[in-house]
Amino acid sequence: QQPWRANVSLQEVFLRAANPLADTFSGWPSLLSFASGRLTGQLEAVGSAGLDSVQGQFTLSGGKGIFDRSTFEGLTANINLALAADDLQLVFPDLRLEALDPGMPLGPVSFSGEYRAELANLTGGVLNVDAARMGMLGGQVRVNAARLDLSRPRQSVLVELEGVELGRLFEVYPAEGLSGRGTLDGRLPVSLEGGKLVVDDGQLQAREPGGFLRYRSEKLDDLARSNAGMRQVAAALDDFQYSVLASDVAYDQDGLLVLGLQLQGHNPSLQDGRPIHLNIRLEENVPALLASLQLSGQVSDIIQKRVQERLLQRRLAPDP
Amino acid sequence: LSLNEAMSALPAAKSAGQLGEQPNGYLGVVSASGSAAEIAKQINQARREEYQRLAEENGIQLRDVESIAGKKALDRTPAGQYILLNDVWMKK
Amino acid sequence: CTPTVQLAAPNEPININLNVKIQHEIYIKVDKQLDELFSESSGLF
Repeated sequence: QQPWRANVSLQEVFLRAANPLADTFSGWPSLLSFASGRLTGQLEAVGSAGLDSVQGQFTLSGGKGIFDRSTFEGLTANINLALAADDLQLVFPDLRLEALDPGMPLGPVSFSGEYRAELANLTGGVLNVDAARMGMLGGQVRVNAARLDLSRPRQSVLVELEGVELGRLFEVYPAEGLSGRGTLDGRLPVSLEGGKLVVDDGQLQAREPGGFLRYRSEKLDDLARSNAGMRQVAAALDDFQYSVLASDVAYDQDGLLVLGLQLQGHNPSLQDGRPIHLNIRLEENVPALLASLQLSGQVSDIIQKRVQERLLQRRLAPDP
Repeated sequence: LSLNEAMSALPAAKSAGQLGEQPNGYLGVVSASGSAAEIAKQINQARREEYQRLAEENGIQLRDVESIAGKKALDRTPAGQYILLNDVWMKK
Repeated sequence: CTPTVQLAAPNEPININLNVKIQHEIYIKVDKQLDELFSESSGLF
């Protein structure tokens, strides 16, 4: 048998027209659709009897589209492919995404790492993350070196939060009369179970020297009129200058975020600035938050439909 | 022009292409003829009060109510009437 | 000299505990409420 070698250069593929990736890879996530994007590259196959190995370099640029209920744009990536026997390896040295919007503008995203899997079980491979970063609310979310074995039921990774601005969060957050300042850092032990994200005993805290929190709204005033406790809360939150803000963070499979917030500070115009310890247990349903942000924001019809469907399913599914 | 008169004149003004719906939830004047501007003023005033009430009742921001309303107005505008897209009046 | 009484803020802190459960179905509710306004019979559409 004569050894052979074949060089194939991929004619430029426009992802909008036909999505060759979706057709070839059975594991292609159904919720990923490209509105635009260009893929170019070339392959080299070597063999003797049959096919021994394939090497390939691809370049994706201008990727724009929707993943599940988030829009993304500005996706560029070099992809190095290596196929030997039935072991596939994909290396992403410099994947970059300009913007991602699940309801709240995020990004840029940068990722470097590699994915290795057997052809027979493409979605059960091992993802090695060298580094991943995503811009968020004036700061960033970061994952450093991590190894995720997708064949196992549960993977865990440490996610670090750095420099998130409270002021930016309140700008995006759909509640009237809420304002504040403070720079937050945090450590979130995240685990992935059945594609669902879970956080157990995460930590979050504001940097020195702290900042302020203000919540002024008619609803709070109405509550304060009828309830002494709420009067005290409304008075404190009218202008709460805090020196300490620390919180534990938990996020469950249904998207329920629970923050155990501990704040120490004072309101200069309340009892001459007498110190106040404010402990808030805050429960927030993140999917509902993102859905309501998307409902009120200008989103494409596709997402609109998915948002409605998702809400309908949640309403029909019996509460766990 | 009373609100009632504006309400009864609104459908004709829309189908005649004088008035159209905007993403901000309010009526816009497409071609200023007849009492188009006056109708828009009355109707928008009534809509603003409605949006304000909904915003207060639900503790959300007025602009959020306006943008939900705007989307609904554009979606529900029948073919042949005008909507404002990227600041350009388009016939749906 | 006459002693001046300085009303020092009582240093013992005020403790406030709060349980907040955020409801986001509000937007979907508002969406429904706007349905009536943008129907033929409302006179405003």
